Amino acid sequence: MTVEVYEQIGRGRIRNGAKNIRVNGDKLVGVGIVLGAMAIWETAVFLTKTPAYLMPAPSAIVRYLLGHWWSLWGAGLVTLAEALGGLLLGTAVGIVLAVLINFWQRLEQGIMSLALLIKSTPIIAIAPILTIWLGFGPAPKVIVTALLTFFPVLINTLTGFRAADPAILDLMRSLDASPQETFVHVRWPGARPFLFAALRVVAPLAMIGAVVAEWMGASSGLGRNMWLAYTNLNMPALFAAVFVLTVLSTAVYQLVVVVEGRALFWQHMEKNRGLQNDSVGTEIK
Amino acid sequence: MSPTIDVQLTDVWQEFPAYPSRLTALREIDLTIAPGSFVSIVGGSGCGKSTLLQLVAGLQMPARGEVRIAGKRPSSLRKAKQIGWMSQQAALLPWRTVLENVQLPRQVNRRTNGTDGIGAQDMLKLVNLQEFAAAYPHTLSGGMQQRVALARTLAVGASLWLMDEPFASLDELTRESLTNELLALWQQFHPTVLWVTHNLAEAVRLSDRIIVLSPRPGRIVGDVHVSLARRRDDTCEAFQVVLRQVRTSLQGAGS
Ligand SMILES: Nc1ncnc2c1ncn2[C@@H]1O[C@H](COP(=O)(O)OP(=O)(O)OP(=O)(O)O)[C@@H](O)[C@H]1O
Ligand SMILES: [Mg+2]
Repeated sequence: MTVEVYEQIGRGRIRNGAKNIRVNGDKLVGVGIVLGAMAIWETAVFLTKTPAYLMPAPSAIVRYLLGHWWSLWGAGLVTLAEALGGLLLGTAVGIVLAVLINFWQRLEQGIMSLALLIKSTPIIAIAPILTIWLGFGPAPKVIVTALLTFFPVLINTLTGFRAADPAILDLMRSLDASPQETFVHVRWPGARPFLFAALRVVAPLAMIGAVVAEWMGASSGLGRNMWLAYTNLNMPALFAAVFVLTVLSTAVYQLVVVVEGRALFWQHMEKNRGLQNDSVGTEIK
Repeated sequence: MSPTIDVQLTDVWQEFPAYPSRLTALREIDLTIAPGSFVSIVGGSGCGKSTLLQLVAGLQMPARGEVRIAGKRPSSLRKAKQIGWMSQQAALLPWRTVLENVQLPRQVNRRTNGTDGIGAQDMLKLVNLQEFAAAYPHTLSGGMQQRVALARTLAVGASLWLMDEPFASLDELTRESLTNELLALWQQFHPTVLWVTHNLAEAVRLSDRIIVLSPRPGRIVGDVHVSLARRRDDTCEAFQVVLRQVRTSLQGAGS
């Protein structure tokens, strides 16, 4: 009995060690692939003597990044703030609309038609109008981002409300729970995984929304940087701005993932259990 | 616990607008269940056992006929939190701990919380899970999850328990020990129990009375009273006689 337990603990340790090595190995491979691509890019630009206004070499982009990191960082923060503001607004609107439909089903058709109408209007068409109305400040960017993000949140949250386990709904009805009680205890907590799935999609989208709106006219932000670089054919500056945008998008996405892990701790634990089984599987192979 | 409760169904029919034609799930159900008795409902798959339970709970309205519990409509019994509902799935909330799951019945419909002082902790003690109060459902085995569901049913403080094959997904051994625990709890609290099962021996082991339904549309084709003393020994001759009786009425209905 005791021997068995020790054996299990020992095996667990070995397994975890193997897993760590494997994960680190995966990371190394990833970095290697990126560096390799950079090297090919650099040599290709060098060998073909492509001018920088058509295609800058990675080294030129890095030089620009190092030389202008302070202004890029400032522009990135402006865009990030607009994107997060819009994301917050869009998410709030999406959730509120889903809740309204949950309690008053009769609103569904009307809300959905309106939402679809807004969703299918190209942002490219809305953004300039908003800029004309609201000026070069952050307001139109926040609104454009919100318009871009509310719809997936609305759809997913509503789906989550409706995905409640019928057996639990029967139980709640047997207790004569009110719709509000069922919402608070069952539907809302159950919809959180759906909400986070939407946020994962929508978070990088929010950054793009803010940049597109800035492109249409802004006093600051990554979008303005890009537009300036584009009109001057300053490709290293354009690529550097894109690089900052990518880094920030990834950061926002990771933030969502971290918050999700906290909020959906029970799923997290289930996932962990799955991972363990997974590594057992690889060990056998 | 509240005073015991009788259940009365008079000429109850249930129909569903299924495709391609209307489907009659239950017909002519006339049934009176004595207060405090343990009644099993057996019958083949799809004969309307779950439907019958839903009708008694008032989760469905009958197409025809009347359901009365202690002379009242099911809905008023639900309002008074007199119905303990348990289904084949444990139906636990995964984001709540075991204890918080057991507390759920007290947190809803607060107007009518019972006055008896059995706390959620004591409920867990009754099902031998007090050490797991802080655990989350997915860390428990299937049998333990059903125990939590059982504790939650107890926490309602209901005098009518409607149980739709609650242990059907468990293995034989777990199932047997859980039904024994259930029997002890029934003897302690003496609710009226409506127990749906596929397992005839289990029905004979547990029940005061066994209602046999025919294949769809479900009709009562057998009504076997079991007067053996508990705990029942399923190897003794008297047990086998009752079991044969139930089986015969079930097979008779099959043709
Ligand atoms: N909501 C519904 N809509 C349409 N048909 C239904 C509905 N609920 C049940 N039925 C039908 O009524 C019949 C009885 O269903 P029920 O679930 O009561 O059977 P059951 O005896 O509980 O079966 P099982 O032992 O497999 O659980 C079935 O033929 C089923 O298809
Ligand atoms: Mg059933």
